[in-house]
Amino acid sequence: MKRILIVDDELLIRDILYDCFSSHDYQISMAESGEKALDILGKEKIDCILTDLKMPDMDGLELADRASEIVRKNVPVIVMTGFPSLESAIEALRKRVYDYFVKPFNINRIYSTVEKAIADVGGNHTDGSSDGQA
Amino acid sequence: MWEGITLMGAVMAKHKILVVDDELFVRELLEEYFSKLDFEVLVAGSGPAALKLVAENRFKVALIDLKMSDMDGIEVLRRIRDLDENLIVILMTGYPTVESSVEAMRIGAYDYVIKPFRLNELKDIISRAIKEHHIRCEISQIKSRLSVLEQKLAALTNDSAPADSVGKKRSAAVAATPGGYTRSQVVSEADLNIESQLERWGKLLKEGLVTQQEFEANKNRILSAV
Repeated sequence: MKRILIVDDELLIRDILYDCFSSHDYQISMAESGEKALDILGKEKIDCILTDLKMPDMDGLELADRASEIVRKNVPVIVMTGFPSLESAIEALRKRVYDYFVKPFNINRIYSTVEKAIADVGGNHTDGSSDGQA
Repeated sequence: MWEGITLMGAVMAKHKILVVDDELFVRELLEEYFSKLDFEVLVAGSGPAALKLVAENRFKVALIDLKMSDMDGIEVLRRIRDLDENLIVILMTGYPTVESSVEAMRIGAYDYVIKPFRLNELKDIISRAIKEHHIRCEISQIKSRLSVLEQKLAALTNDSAPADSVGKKRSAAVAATPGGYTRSQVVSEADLNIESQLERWGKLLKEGLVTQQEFEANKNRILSAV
């Protein structure tokens, strides 16, 4: 089963996304801050990160950077923001973020983008059954 | 370090780049600047002309204007993907927007550069893009090699021995040393390349000297190390 990490300091957004992905048979981890998200990434195998851009402790792009240092393989990162800007969109492109959503977003589009991201980027690492065998 | 790789791998071949812009001034400026830096530069004044050049040449990087009259840069990039999946595309625009930069991200642009730009900054972006192109080409080669290996493995495993005879055959073979296989022979593979490792495990499976489970475990281990 695929596991998604939802990171947002707004409880309402976390709840909406939780309802969406749990109804599609996803395992879900949630964090209300970047630090907590990094903590989860160190412990759990995550297939996709869906993160808010603007959070008090660290922004979603910094989280994307630091996540790539923690996880062994490439995990797609999708950012969401209520405050879109050209600078952050270009920075997201340069950091190879998978997608950039402006709030309020269409929840079905988020879901289909996560599915596509896992298939595209995570295709070579979702088979956890072979990990660690030697 | 990159220069070294270039010298060894491409026998000092120039990096070939494509400049696409409907403004003559921009084409001339970039052609002159990058030619002086020893790049091989081809230019196109429209999307269709650019696609023709991509079909006929092997470029490492394409610099494409976003807003052109006949076909915009996003559409050019979309069509380029069918012609050359490894080509690195940098979009340039004098009219940047969040929407177009996100669209550029979605279709796999390497960078999104706002005009007017500093030429030395563009040069740095192109240098990084050429390294990225090198990595993409290597990944493509590894993927196609893996695909061939998977096909070979599928062919080998299709006519493998039934599971219930595996134990007997293996015992017989180990007992037959030094002529037969021993456990140490089976696992001492450190200096074999991936292809020969996989072929060897496939052969062992075919001869009934390892179980299907052992074969799968080792196949996954070897492939995950690539």
